[in-house]
Amino acid sequence: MNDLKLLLKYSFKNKNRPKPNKKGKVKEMGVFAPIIQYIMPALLFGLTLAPVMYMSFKNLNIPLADMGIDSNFNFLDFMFSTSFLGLGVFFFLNFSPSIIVNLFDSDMTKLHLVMPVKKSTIFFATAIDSFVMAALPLGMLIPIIVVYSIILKINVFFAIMATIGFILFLVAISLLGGVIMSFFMGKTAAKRFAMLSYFGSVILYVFAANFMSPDRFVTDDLDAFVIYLTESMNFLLHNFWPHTWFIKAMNGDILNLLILLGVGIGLIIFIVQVSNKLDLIAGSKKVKNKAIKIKQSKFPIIFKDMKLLVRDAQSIFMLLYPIILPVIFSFTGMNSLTFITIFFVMISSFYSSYLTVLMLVEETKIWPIPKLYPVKINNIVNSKIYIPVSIFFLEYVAIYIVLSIMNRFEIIGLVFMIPMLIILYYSSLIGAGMYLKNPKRDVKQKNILSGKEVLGLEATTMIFSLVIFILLNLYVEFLKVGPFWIFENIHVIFSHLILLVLPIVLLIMIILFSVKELKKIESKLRTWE
Amino acid sequence: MIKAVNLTKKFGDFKAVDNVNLNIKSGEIYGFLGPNGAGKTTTIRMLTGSLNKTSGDIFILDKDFSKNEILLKSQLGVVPDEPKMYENLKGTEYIEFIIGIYKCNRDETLKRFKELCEAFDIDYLNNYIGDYSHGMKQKLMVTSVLMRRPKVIFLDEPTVGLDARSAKILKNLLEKYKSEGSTIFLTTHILEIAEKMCDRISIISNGKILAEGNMEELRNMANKESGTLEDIFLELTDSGELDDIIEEL
Repeated sequence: MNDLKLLLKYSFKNKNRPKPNKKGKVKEMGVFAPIIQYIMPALLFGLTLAPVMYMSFKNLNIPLADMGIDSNFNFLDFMFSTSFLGLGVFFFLNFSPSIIVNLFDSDMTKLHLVMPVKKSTIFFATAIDSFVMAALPLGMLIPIIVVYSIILKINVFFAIMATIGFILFLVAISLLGGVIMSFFMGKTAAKRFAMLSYFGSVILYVFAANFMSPDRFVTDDLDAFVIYLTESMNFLLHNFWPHTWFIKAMNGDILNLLILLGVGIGLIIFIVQVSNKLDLIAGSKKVKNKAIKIKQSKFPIIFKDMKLLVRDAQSIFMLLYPIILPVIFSFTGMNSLTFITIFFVMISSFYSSYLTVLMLVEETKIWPIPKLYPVKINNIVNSKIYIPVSIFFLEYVAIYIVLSIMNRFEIIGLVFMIPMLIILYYSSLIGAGMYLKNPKRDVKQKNILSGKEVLGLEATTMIFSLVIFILLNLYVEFLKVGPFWIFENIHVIFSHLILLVLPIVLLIMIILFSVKELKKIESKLRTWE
Repeated sequence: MIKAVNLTKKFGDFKAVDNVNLNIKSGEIYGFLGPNGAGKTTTIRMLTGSLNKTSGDIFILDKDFSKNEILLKSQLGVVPDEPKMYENLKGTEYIEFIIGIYKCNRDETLKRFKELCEAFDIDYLNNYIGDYSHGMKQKLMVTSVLMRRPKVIFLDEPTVGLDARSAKILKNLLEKYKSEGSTIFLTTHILEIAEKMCDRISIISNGKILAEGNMEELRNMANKESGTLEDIFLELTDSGELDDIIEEL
């Protein structure tokens, strides 16, 4: 235990090199500070979700037997089971591969292996270190459990014990996944798996949104509804599922509580034993050269950047999320061009800036090699600005075409392409500018940008994109239906000024800011060495 | 071929390289030696354009580096002190990138690359670079430079991580390129390699060149009638009485 504490203490120290404040004093972060940093946004998200869930489900405390279904479960058990299952899988998919990536990617593992420390200690230290990846599903899960407990008025003892048991089980099963994967996966394979797990999470979300869509429950055919419910319930609340043990334990079933705790503890003990037999060093399968096939590209920087981009799990998630979101929305019936455009621009503008940062990180990782290439460093940086902009722009075009086919052709969607392009370009530029303020960052850290920098990027990109697109959309509405509420009592000219002229002025400002930012980047590039 | 005039690099108040003058001819292997932190890598980084100089002038292939940076970079080969490459690319993709960015003749370069792969026993190009060991990366880095047959080659500790066979092949290749007129600028801590391979050697310490010349000239500077490069190096860099240090330990 002491070894574990020691490894964790210096791992966190290594990750969080504290900077002196203005007075020159260095304030060290606590061991749990990084976990709290990660879990707080997730908890806040969960806490905002909780009242909505409470309001939506408070009247669904109906025994299934009352609905003519032969079951001891409640309708709420059925509804919440998807959340428990979905978030449980989400937890596993996020946490498990990150243990392997961390284990094989960390230079510290090699060092720890030559120290008089048990392999299981190294494995558990890495797992705790990777726990931040489970923060989002955990932060969402806890408020949902609280809502479930409140509506069903569950005994506090059982609620707490069952929650501990369920989280323990999720941790244990993720650790087991990590152990199993480390037997046959290399570092690259683990990264690929991590990437796939991101996809898995999103697909799961789409599936859950579809499965739980209110449309499925709206039917005049009561028999069909009961059959659908019975079949779904038999699947979702089968005794095979650990979340079923959890639901039963929450409702006072001691046997299931013991099973949940027993399996969790048993798995942890098993993992301690097995992890002592791990290699903990990534072996890579050698793929022998069959024939060296090498093509020649006229745009080597762009092709190289594209390859690196699509091989990074975080980047691929960011690239696809803005286009997957409309798919999710379409399942919930929200497929208007206005709504989707606003969400798309808000997310893609921030991601555009962050992707530029992530692509620059790839050059920093091998710095100063890029300075040796016979090209201007501007070309290397420009590629990182244009690639995300082009991809998101093409995504918008694709969404526009699909929505035009699904709904009806709206000319405004074409007009929106101009501000979209300007905002995306500016977002990428400020991402590059922010990164180049201090290009000598510790790129081995998960957080490349500081919290303050991320907030700055989010605020700038989202405020510009939201204000411009909301106003432009309101202007379209204004033209269609005439003055509405806040504009009813003011002169029509002010409506035009606020809804049309203001976004145009903002766009001109963005263009001017972009020119300024470009100059700043130019000067920063001259001193990047 | 390589000329540096009063080359200086300052980091804040600290002078990492202090008025260094070099004049290296074509068909010469030039050894650049010094203790850790002496300024060897900083000098190489300035000579190859990856670090801005504070003052001084650099001429490569008789051209002013600052005025012909891109052109000269395309004619240089640099094996850096660490074989850093994009970890999420496969070996083949990295070579594709190098051929593209240096605008090499694809067929000629590939032919040479395949020969080098056989010589260095590189048979892992379809794997991701992130899965390579240090030695595998170093071999790929060396071959990616040598396949271009640059006229001027800078090598910063090129044998680190290489197995004995690969190191021997590299040394022989450098001798061959030298005989064909290439200029080779080499730093190494393995003084036997420098002594055996280099036509001239300079020793740098605290950013200043302490001595420069062939072995005979260096011996004279160190006031040693005989002795190895190691003896001269230790004498010139004022490494102290090593026997006493070891005794104290």
